[in-house]
Amino acid sequence: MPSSDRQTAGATSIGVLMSEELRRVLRRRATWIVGGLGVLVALVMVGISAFTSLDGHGVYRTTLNGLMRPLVIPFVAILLGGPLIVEEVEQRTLPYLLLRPIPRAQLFAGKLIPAAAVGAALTGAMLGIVYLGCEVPSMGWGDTIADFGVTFGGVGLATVAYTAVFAALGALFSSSLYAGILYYGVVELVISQLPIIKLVSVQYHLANMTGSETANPGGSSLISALLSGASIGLPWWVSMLFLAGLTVAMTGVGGLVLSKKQFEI
Amino acid sequence: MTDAIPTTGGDPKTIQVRKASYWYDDVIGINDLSVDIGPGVTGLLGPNGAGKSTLMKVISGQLSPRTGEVRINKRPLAGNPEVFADIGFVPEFDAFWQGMSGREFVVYLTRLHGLDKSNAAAAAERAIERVGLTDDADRPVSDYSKGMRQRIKVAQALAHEPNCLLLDEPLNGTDPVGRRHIIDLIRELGAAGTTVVVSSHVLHEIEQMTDEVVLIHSGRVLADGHIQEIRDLIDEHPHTIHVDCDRPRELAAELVGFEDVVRVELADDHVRVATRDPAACYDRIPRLTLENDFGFQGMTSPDNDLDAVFQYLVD
Repeated sequence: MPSSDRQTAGATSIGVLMSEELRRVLRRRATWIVGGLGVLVALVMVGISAFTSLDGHGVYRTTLNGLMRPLVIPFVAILLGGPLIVEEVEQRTLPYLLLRPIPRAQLFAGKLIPAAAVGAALTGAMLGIVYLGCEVPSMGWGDTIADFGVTFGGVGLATVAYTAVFAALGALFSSSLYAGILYYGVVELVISQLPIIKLVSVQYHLANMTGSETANPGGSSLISALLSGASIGLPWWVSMLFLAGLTVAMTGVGGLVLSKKQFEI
Repeated sequence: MTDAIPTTGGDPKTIQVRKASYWYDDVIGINDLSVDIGPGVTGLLGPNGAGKSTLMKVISGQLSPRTGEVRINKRPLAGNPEVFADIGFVPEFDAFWQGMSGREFVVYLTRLHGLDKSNAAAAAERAIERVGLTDDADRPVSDYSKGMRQRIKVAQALAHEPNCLLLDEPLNGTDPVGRRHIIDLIRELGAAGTTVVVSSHVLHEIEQMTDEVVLIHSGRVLADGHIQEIRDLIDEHPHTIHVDCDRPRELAAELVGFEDVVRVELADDHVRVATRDPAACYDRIPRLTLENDFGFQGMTSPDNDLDAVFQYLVD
């Protein structure tokens, strides 16, 4: 093959990998079932807000903090991220991908990005419906749109970060579910409740971006709050940077796993 | 075994394996193995469990040797993804993405070599034509026969025109037509200067593709060189062929008359033939079954004769 026929940059390969992965994610029945369920739940919450005496703002916050943050977002992410590499191992197609002239981190990113984007679109759509159907009728646009923008970004970023975590853990432990569930149980449910170290959990940063960590202590109060495990409100962009950094770090871990792990297929 | 590095093929050497070892928990795959392989076809021959597939995976880069090194075209394989542009690998097992046609499979994997859409499509078309699947290229791979799946795997390995082609048991499960096609293609590629390594546990398969062999046993190179030396040893051991067909009794009756046939065993749905001239017998059986409408379904070789030769060499 003349080298001139080959693109010098890996961009073409990554683009091909991403478009094939997107096609695969969109063709997966589970994606549509979860998406449909998410929309259905959102519509039910809108119905509750519209046809009962419950306050729309309260329904919106309950959906966000009681349903989406602890359940929907991790569930969507584990469903999309967990199998990313594990499925290739189980159907024995991974060697075809590994034996292409593509750096392993790019290979991992090429598979992760479409899955994470679809996940973020699903959770974003659910949030958007509840916002438009519950929050806006109750509180109006003007006072809520800025907070919604941050919340929307937080939900999207948290979905992406979780997808990256579950994909990397899946690749590392060759298990699409168990390692992810263990991580979620330990880090996101237990550690997120503990003083100081809760700052390493996605749950904390998502809560911070969605306005659930409202207190804003400064100086020595911040240290006391950290040590006591009280609510700590950090600037939203700190959490945004954390979630973006976690995604990048997990992509690196995934690439490292693909480089170093012996896939005895 | 001498200290000299086993060598096959022409020069310069495309594949250089140095003191490579790989083990699975407490099972040795390959053990301190060194070999140089150059252009032309090299047969990697050994009984099941000898370490052929492990060596193939180590040479292809799917597995990193736990000790030692592999170089392709003088470049170390470890941490060097661009080397994969020079390698085409046909895995032993069937592995495909669901819902893809043969053409989509080849084009997708060719595009992952950095070719743009039109170049990849053209390269895939050429490769599919070479393996004789042009008419079936747009059918889903899931509808392919075992032989067709083997051929489409060969096409994906060929399409980007690597100078090092590794085929792990490529004739497994192929029908006579597919088998002929793959054998001719391998010979053609070897003659054109591609370094082709073919693994098999069936001597006769390798014999049809090349004269140069590397014998593997217990993860080590047992011998290397011309296949005739192996053939001389093996001639002392009749070759066994297992033939599945609808009318085994009639086929057995036809076969017993040939001079090279030393034994015929009959069962309800197959015939087991021991012959001193496998090449003639492999040509003869499909022809006889077709001419006489015996309902030929396939043939395999348990190849106990090769095991006997390995036992002889090990002892």
